[in-house]
Amino acid sequence: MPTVIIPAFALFAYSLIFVALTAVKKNKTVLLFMMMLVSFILFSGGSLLMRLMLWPGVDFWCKVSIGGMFLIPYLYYCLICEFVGYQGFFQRRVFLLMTLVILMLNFSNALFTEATVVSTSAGQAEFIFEAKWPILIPVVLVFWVVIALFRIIFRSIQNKERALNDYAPLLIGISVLALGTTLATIPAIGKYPLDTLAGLVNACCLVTMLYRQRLFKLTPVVSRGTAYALTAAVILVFLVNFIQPIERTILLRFPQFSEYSTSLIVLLFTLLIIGIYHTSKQFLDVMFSRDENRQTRLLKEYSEAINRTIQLEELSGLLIQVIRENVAVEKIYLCLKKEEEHAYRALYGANMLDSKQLMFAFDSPCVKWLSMKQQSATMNDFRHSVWYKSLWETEKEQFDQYQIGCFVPLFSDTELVGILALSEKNGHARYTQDNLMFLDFIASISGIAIKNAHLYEMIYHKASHDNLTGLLNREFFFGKIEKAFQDHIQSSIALILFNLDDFSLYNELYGRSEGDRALQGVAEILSATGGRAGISARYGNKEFALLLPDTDGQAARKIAEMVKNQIGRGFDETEDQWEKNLTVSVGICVYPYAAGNLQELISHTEMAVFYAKQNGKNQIISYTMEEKPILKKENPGKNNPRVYAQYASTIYALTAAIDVKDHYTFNHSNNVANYAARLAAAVGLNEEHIELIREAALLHDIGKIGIPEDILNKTSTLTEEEYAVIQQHVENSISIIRHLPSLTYVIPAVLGHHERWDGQGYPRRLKQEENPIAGRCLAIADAYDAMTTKRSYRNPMSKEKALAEIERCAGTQFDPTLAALFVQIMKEDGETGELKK
Amino acid sequence: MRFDERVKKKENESLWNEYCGFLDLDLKSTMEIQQRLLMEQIQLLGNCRLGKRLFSGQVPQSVDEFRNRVRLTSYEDYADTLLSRRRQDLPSEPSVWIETTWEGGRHPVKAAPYSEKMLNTFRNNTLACLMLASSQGRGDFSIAAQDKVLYGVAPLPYATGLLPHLLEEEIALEVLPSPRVAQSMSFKERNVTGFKMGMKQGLDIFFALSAVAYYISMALQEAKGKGASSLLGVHPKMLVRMLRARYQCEKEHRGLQPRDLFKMKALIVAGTDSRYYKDKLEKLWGVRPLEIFAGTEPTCIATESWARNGMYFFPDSCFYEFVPEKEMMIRLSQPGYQPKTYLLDELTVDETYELVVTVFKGGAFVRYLTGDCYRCLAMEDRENHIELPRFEFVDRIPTLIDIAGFTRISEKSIQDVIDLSKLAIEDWIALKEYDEQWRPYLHLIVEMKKSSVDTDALNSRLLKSHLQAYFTYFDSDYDDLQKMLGIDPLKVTIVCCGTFARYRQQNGSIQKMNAKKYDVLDLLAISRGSREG
Repeated sequence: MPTVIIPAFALFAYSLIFVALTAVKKNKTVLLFMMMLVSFILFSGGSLLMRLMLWPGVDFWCKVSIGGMFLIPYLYYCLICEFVGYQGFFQRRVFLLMTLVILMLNFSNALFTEATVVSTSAGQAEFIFEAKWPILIPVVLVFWVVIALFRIIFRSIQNKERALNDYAPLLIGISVLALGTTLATIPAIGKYPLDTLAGLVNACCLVTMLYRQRLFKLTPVVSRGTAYALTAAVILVFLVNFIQPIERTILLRFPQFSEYSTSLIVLLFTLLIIGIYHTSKQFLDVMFSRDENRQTRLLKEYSEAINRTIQLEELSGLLIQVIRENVAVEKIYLCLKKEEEHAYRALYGANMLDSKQLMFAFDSPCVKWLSMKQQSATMNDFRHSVWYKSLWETEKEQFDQYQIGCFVPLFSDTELVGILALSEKNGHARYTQDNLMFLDFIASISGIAIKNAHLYEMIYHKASHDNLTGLLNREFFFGKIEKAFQDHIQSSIALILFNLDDFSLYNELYGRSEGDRALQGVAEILSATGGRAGISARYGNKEFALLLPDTDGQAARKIAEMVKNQIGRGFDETEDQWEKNLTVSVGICVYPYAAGNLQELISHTEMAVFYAKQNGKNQIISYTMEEKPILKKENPGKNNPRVYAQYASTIYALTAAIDVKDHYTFNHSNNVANYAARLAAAVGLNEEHIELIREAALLHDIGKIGIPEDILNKTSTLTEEEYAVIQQHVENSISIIRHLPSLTYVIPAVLGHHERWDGQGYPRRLKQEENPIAGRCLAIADAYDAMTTKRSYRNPMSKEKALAEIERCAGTQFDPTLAALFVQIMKEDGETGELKK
Repeated sequence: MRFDERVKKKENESLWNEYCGFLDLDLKSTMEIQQRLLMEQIQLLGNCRLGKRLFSGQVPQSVDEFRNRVRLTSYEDYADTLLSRRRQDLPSEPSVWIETTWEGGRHPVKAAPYSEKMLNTFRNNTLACLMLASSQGRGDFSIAAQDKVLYGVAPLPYATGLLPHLLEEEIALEVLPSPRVAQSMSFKERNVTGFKMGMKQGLDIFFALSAVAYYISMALQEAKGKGASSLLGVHPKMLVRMLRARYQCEKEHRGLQPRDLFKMKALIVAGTDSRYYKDKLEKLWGVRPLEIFAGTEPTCIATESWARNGMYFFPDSCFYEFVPEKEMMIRLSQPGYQPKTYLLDELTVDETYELVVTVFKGGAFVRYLTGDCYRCLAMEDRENHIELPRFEFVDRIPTLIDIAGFTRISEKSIQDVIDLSKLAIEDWIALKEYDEQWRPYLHLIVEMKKSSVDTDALNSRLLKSHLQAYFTYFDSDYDDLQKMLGIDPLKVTIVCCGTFARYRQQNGSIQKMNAKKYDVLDLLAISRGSREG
C-alpha cells in the first residue's frame, strides 16, 4: 500500500504547491521553482502510474518518472543560481546539454533495461530494471551539480551576499533527498518509494526557503477553481485505483445489489467528490486565504465606518479596534498633535484606563524619523537608527514603560497629524512585514479622517468652551442644562452660581495674568468637584456655574462650601510677599424644592447670588420659596461718596494715631490729597477717579502706624535696615485698607505711591504705566509735599527748588507728562489752587 | 540582540546605520542632536548639587543661556567633589570611576565618574570605531565574533581599560591575552604576551597608542628567529605565513614586518603624535590606521571615517565648543579670562581650537577645557559625501607637553622637579621636539646659577640624568616612556649664564612652555654670542 500512497500523496502535495504558485506574482526564481515542481510531478506521478500499471504501460511511466528525476539536478542548479544572483552561463549550458542527452538516452533504453513486473511471494508487484554503463553520465552530472552548488553557496556566504541561515532549508532538503535516493538503492527497502518521499520533503524545504526570502506570498491564491482542480486530481487517482476493487467487493459481498453496482459506485464517488471539494477548500482557506479575506472584510468595514463619523472619540475607537482585530497587540495609543504643548500626546488608548502620559515632543527624534520615513516602523528599527542617539533617557524610559513595539505615523498630505504607538505584540512576537503593511494601509486611510475629526473637535471645543478656563461657555451650558433638566425632571437638580468678589481689584492689584490664573484655578476646582455627572461652565466674566443632577439642597450647600473654601485658599504657587486673597459669593437653587422649571431654577439662582453680593459678599445664599431674596439692586459702593464717610472717623482715628508717632503725617495726607486731586483734575480724569485719588492720598501713609517711632522721627540718616523698615509702610497700608472692604479700590493707587517711572521704586518695582495713573499722581504729590514741609531730618525746601527737583526727576522718578503738568499747575495756581477740569 | 548576532544575521546595513549613521547626518541634524542632548544634561545637572554650583543656582533654559551664563571649567572646579568620590552630588549615579594622571606629585590622579548611560554611548561609539577601522567605504565593514584583538592601550583604571569589558557585552572578540589573564600583567607584559599570541594564532584587530603600535612593530622588525621552539603551538595558517614571510624577507634583504604575517582587518590608533606615526604604521602593517580620540573626561569622542583623512566628532558623547587659538593664548596668559567659544557649525577651516566639552548622559564635566587642540581641516568631505566638519588632533595646549600620549608635563611639574632636584638652575624653558625618527622628547634649555658654575660638577649629561631621576620619581608614566617605548624622553641644553636676562632685556618675556621657535633661536643665539664674545 505505501508504494501507492506515498507517490499519490507526493503528487497531491506537488500539485497543491504548483496550483498555489500559479496565482502568485512570478519572477524568474518562482518560475524555475515551478518548473522544478513539474519535474517532481513527473517523477512522483510517473512512479504512481507505474505502480498502478496503467496504460500505456509500466515501462512508459517508468521512463517518465526517471526522466522527471533527471531534470531535477539541472533545474536545481538554475534555481540556486537565480536565488543567489550567480550567472554561471557556461555550466548552465553544459548541464542543459547533459540533461537533454540523458533524457534521450533514457527514452531510448540506453540507461536502463526495460522495466518488467514480477510478483513477489506476498502477491505484490515489483518492478525490475537494470542500469547500463551510460548511467554514469547522470551520476557525473549529479555530482558535478552538487559540487557546483556548494561552491556557489559557499561563495555567496563568503561574499556576505547571503547568510548560512538563509540556506538552512535548502541544505536540509538536499541532505534528505540524497538520503532518500541512497536508501532507494538498497534492495531491502528500495521497494518503498523513499526517493519520492525525500523529494517531497525537499520541495517543502525549498518552499520554506523561498518563502522566507519573501520571494512570493501564499495568500492571494485560493479560489473555487483551485479546489476543483485539486478535487479532480485526487478523485482521478482514487477512481483509477479503487473503482475495480469496489466493484469486486459489491459483487462478492452484496450480490443482491449487483445490478446497481454502477449506480452505487457513481453515488459513492459523488459523495466523495463533495467531501473532498469542501475539505480541500476549507483546508486552503485555513492555510492561505482566511486571514486575508477577514482582513479585507474588516478593512472595508472600517473604511466605511470612518466615513460615517466625524467624532474623534468614535473614530479612534474604530481605528484601535480594527488594529487589535488584525494585530495581536494589547495596548494602542493614539497620539494627536497638541500645538499648545508642542507635542503629540496620547489622547485615546485601547483601554480607557490606560495611562495617557505618553507623548512625543515636536522636536523628538522619533517624530523627525517618522516624518522622514513616512511609514510604520518597529521600535527596533528606531533603536537601530542614528536618530535614537538624540533621544533623552527619560524618553527611552517612557518607551520602555509603555513597552512600545511599533510606531505608525498618520499623515494628512505631508503633515504628520498623529502617531499610533503600539505596544509589543503578545508573547513578544515580532512585527511581521504583513503587520507593517496592514498598519500602513490603515494609516493611509485614517490620516485625513483623523485630521478632519481633530479639527472638527477643536472647532467644536472652541465654539462650546471658554478659551481661558476650558469650561463650557454660557451658550453651550444652557443647551447642556436643558438636556440634563429633561433627563432628571423626575429627580432633583441643583444649580450653583459662583461670583468672584472684587475681581477687577484683584486684576488691578496682581495683574491680569494672575487674574487669569485664578479663573483657571476656579475652573479646575469646579471640574473636579462636579465630576463626570456635574456640568460646569464659565457663566460670565467672573461668574461660574455648576449644575449637579440628583443633588439636594443640603448636598449642594456642602459642595458650595467646599468650593468656596478652596477658592479662599488662593491660587498662588509662588512665594510672593502678597497674600492674594480671593473670596466668592455663591447662590444656590434646587429643583424641584425651590424652582418649578428650568427658567425658575436659573433666575432663582441668579437672585440668590445677587443677594449674596449685595449683603456683604463672601457668603453662600440658598434660594428658598419662603424667604425670597431682595431683588432691589443697590449701587455697590466704590464710587459712592458715602463709603468714605462711613470710614472717615476710622481713618481720622488712624491718621491721628500716626500723628502721635509721626507729626507730619496727618497734614501731609491732607496736602497730598489736595495736590494729587488737582493734578488728577488737570489731567482730565473724571470725578469718580479724582475722588478715588483723593481718598487714596488720605490713606496712603496709614501703614506708618506700624513703623517704630524712633525710626519715623530719626534725625540722622537712616541705616539700610531702617530704610527697609520704612519701606514696609506701603505694605502695612494695604493690609489695613484690606480690612475696610468698601475701600479696597484705593489699594492700587496707594500701592503705587513709591513706585518710580524707571521701575526702581518699591515695593513692586512697577515701571512706567504698569503703575496706575492714580499711583503716579500720588507719587508726585507725595514727593512735593515731603520736600516742601519740615521733616525730622531736614528743613523744608523752597517751592521753586522742589518744583525744579520734580522737573529734574521727570522721566526717571516721575511720569514726565504728569511731572510737567504738576509743575505747571503749581506755578500757575500756587499752593491752594482750585480743582480744574 | 548582540552586535555579533546581528552580524551573523547579516544585518549589516542596519548596524552601519545605527553605529556609523552619524556620518550620514548633515551639520544641521548633528547640531540638533547636540542641542537636544545638552538640554537633557542641563536638566540632570540642575537637579544635583554639582550642577547647581556650576550654574550658580539658576538652571539655564536654553543653549544660548547655558553658553552665556556658565563659565568654562577646569579640573580644579571638580576636584573636591570627584576626588572625594561624592556620588550624591553628581547628576547621575556613577557605574565606574576612571582615573588618569594629573599633575604628578601635587595631585597624583584625576578621577572621572562614568554613568551607565555614558558607558552605553562609549560602547556604541567604540563599536563604530571598530566598524570604520575595518571599512574601505560607506556601509562596508568586516568585524565579527572571534576576531582576535590585541590591545596596546592602558588598562583599568584608565578609560581605555574599559574597552574589553564594554565590548564583550556586544561582541565576542578574542582578546590577546584574555582580560582575566591580563589583569595580573604589567602593560609591557600584556603587550609582549599579546603579540606573541598573535604570532601564533593570527591577529585581526590591533588597537593601540600610536607610539606603542610603532614600537611593537619596530621590535618585530628587529627581532631574529628563535629557532624551532618558537614555532611550537603555532596555528598551521600562521606557520605557512611565517615561513613565507621569512622567505620573502630574506629575498628582499629586509627585516620582518607585521604585514608579512598578519592580514589585518583593523588597525586603530590614538594618542598625541599619531599623525607622525600613521604613515609608518601603514607601511609596516599594510593597512592604513584609523585614528580616534578618547579621553578620561570626555570618553570616546572622535573617529576618522573609512577615508581616514581626519576625525569627526560623535554627536552623542559630549556637547562640543571650540576656543580659537588666539582666545586660548589669552586664556593661558590671563587666569580667569573667559574666552569666546564657537560651535561645530561656527568654525573656520584651518583654524586651531582648544576643545571644550560638556559630557552628556549624566557626566560630571560642564564646559570643561580639555586642553586638547584640534585643527579644523574642512567643513565637509565632498568626495566621501560627509557633510560634517573634519578635524586633525594637533597636540595638547602649549602649556602642557604630552609625550607619545603617555605623560603630560606642565610648567608646574617641571618646576617641582627642578626644586626637588636642588640643582642650581637659574632659569629654564621647555619645548616638545621630535628626533630624526619623529619620536617626541622634552627639551629643557636651562641656565645655571652663576654661583654654581665654579662649585658644582656640571654638564648636560649629568643634569639630564639627575633630572631624569626626579621626573621618574615624580611621574611613573615618564619612566614607561623609556622602558616600554625605548624613547629617550629628555634632552638638556645648558645656555650661558645671563642669557635669559639678556634675552628679556632685548625681547621681553619668553614663554616657559613651548616658546615660539624664533624666540628659542634668539635665546640660543644670545647664548652663543656670549660664548663667542
